[in-house]
Amino acid sequence: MAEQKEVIRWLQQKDKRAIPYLYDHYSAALYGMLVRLLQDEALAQDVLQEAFIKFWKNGHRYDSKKGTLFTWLSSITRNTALNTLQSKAHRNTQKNQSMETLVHHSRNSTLIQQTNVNKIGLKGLVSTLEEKYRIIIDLAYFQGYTQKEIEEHLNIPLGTVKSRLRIALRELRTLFDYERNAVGIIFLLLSCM
Amino acid sequence: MKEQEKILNSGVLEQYVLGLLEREEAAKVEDYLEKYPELKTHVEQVQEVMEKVLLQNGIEPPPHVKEQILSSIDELGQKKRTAPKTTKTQKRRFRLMPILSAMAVVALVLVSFSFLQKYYATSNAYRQLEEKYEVLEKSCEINQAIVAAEREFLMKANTLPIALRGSENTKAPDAHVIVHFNKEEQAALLNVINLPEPPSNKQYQLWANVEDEMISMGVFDGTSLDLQTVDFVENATSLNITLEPFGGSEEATVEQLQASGKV
Repeated sequence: MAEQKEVIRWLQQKDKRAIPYLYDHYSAALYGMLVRLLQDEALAQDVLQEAFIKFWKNGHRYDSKKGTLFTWLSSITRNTALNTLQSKAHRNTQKNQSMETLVHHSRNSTLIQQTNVNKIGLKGLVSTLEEKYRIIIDLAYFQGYTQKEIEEHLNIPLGTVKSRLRIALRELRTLFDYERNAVGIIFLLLSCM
Repeated sequence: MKEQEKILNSGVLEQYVLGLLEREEAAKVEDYLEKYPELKTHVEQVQEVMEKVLLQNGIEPPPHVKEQILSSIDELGQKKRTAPKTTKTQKRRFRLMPILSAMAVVALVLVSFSFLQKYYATSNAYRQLEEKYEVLEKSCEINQAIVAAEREFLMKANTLPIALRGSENTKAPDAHVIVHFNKEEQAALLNVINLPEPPSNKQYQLWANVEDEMISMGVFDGTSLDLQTVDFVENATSLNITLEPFGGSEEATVEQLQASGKV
């Protein structure tokens, strides 16, 4: 990952080359997350831009000891999106309250309404997971549900959420390792031929 | 069961990676990660998996988004640099000012100089014209005086016009000259009416016949339209014109007689 070290140095030294590199490598992954999380492509684009500005402004704060670059990027992007959702939900609540004095209106219900309208299915390894595992990752990671919201939505206790999450990720890791090994084996086979 | 194993099996690390923990809980997990390297390794593995999941679920943003993001970051950089930039341009302007003012001064000097030159040239021309005017005015006065004097002379009762004419016996048969003659005032004025133009080395000369002797009354300009003063000679019986070498002769060249008239 010599290349990534260079990018990290660019980020830390505010070298402009960092941004196109990050964009080319990670924008699709981050944008995919944002579209699923926000259910709004225009908003997703705005948040992506906001996130990139944060990468640029806070690049010098990135510490490779605390996690991979991508984890840092994705958590900034995710937090930006969640903040946007919260302020949007807050505005909606205020608006609705003033109109119809509807008190029972949380981010949860707006989210569920939104996700029902336009849902983008997950692809890749995560889609091969059993539904009950996949949905936890989907809700938690791609739809920004809180612990409590997941419990309520799936009607399962916290302990079950935690264990399913753990299993889901273990499964994913196994699949991931298997895939990586498979690629390795294919390369090995190809090189033998 | 060891503490780290408990944590590992609880699923809290997965919750941490997926961002399901409250800030306090997350901080607690981070403390554990500092404490137990194997927990940190596990978290890194989970992060790696989620990274893979995210990469596999990527959606390409529309092409304009990249430009938008790059330019918004460019603007940020420019905004940051605008502060020193303005001082830079100020500095540059500051350095430019003396050059500009020096150029203005030079331009002003050049313009003033050319105006000054024009002023001198114009006033010089004016002075010359003034001088010319004065000369003309004087000569005009003189001429007027002359004309007035001539007119007065001609108007006098005792001024007699003597007509000198050419004949078949003279060189210029069509010659016609009038000499206004005043015996009392002893003055004479000559008026050329018609004379052939003389060769450039010759001049007309007027003679008075006094007891058959030709006495010069002076040379005159045969082409002039003005009245010309000639010398007065007493007791002339006739006046004659001959063509003489330039400057006139002591004695009249009779063969060159042009015109004559009796007094």
